Amino acid sequence: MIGALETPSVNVPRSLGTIDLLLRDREVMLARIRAGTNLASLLKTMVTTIALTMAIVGAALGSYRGGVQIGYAAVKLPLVLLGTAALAAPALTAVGRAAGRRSRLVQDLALVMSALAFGALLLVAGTPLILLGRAIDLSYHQMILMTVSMFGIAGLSALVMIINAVAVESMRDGSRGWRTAVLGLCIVFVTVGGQLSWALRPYLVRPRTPDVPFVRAKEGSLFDAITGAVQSARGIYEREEAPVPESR
Amino acid sequence: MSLDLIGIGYLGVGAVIALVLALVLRKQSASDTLLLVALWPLWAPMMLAQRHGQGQSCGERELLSALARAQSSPLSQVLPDAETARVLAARLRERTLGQLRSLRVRYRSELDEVHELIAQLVTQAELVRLQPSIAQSSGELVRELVSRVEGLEDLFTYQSSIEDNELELTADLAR
Repeated sequence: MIGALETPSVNVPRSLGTIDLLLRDREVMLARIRAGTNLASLLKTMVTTIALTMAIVGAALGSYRGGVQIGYAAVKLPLVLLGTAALAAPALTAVGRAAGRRSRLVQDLALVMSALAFGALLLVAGTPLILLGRAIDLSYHQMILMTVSMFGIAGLSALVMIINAVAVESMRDGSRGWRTAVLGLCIVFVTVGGQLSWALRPYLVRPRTPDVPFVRAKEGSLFDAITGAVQSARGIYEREEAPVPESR
Repeated sequence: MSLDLIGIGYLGVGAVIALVLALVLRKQSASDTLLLVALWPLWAPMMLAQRHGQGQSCGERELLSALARAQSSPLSQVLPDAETARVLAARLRERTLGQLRSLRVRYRSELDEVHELIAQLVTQAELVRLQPSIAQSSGELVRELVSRVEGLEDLFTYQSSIEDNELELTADLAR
């Protein structure tokens, strides 16, 4: 019959469609968040995406040492990002409200989680680089630099997505204070994320390390470590010499 | 305070919130409970917003929030209160839904007729192939089909007029 063309039907889960939208057409994704369309489902998809992608990235980082560290890092990295997101995401609304931004909590949460999921997807796309580094025996410090660069690029991409969305929204409703809101989010995110990731370290461990703990013993806060590093750089040391592993 | 203690405290707060929301909402899936315990700062506002927004369209929510914002302004005396606005928005929604329902019925019958004409045309084309002398009657059938398709265009115009009316009414309510 004319017009009755057979179209192939492919059963694609809706969540994969959302991820596809996030990667291909973020404008539409942001419009969907603004309109508040099915945000609960969107948030679930983003949480799952972050958990899975960060587990893959963690496993890849853990593979530098291998063994049990693959599992440890695969568990810890999703915990760090999801924990940080949970504690820091409401800051966008809270600081924005204080600065005069017309914001809605649920939309803001969906936006932050979508941006983090986007960053996590970029990170997982860079996982082959980590495995390549392992394959060509990059040194520990080179691996650290590469990992920091990858996380930096992913973080900046997520931040750009948030800035674009909030700036457009602020232009539409004529409210101000979006810059302060984003700055507040960044400060809270960096502080919480830095401390949480510091508390749950290590992720990337030297291959020769004999035993790896799930979490290192408490050695003060991230701030203490940064202060100590700055002092060391100035030639002021708190101990006589760096500890060396005990010979077996 | 150790990390373990903070973790236990965080999960404890999540468990309490999950319990409270389970009692209040009475409809909570296992995934919702898990997300509430593990990510309560994200999921609790989402569940509360869902509950608050049940049965409300996005436009209605915007209208109500605009009215709430205008409560402190001198305009508040001439504006309808939230309850009146909710009733008006519900009436508007019902009316629009009714119009869309009748439009769907009309679309369906028109499309059925078009399908029928197309089927007749296919049969006619087969007959013309076998007996070219009856080609004249096929022309009439094609003209009928074209007029039906034009009728569908009228329906599209009617649909846009409904949407325009809805926008105007929403704007009136907001005013």
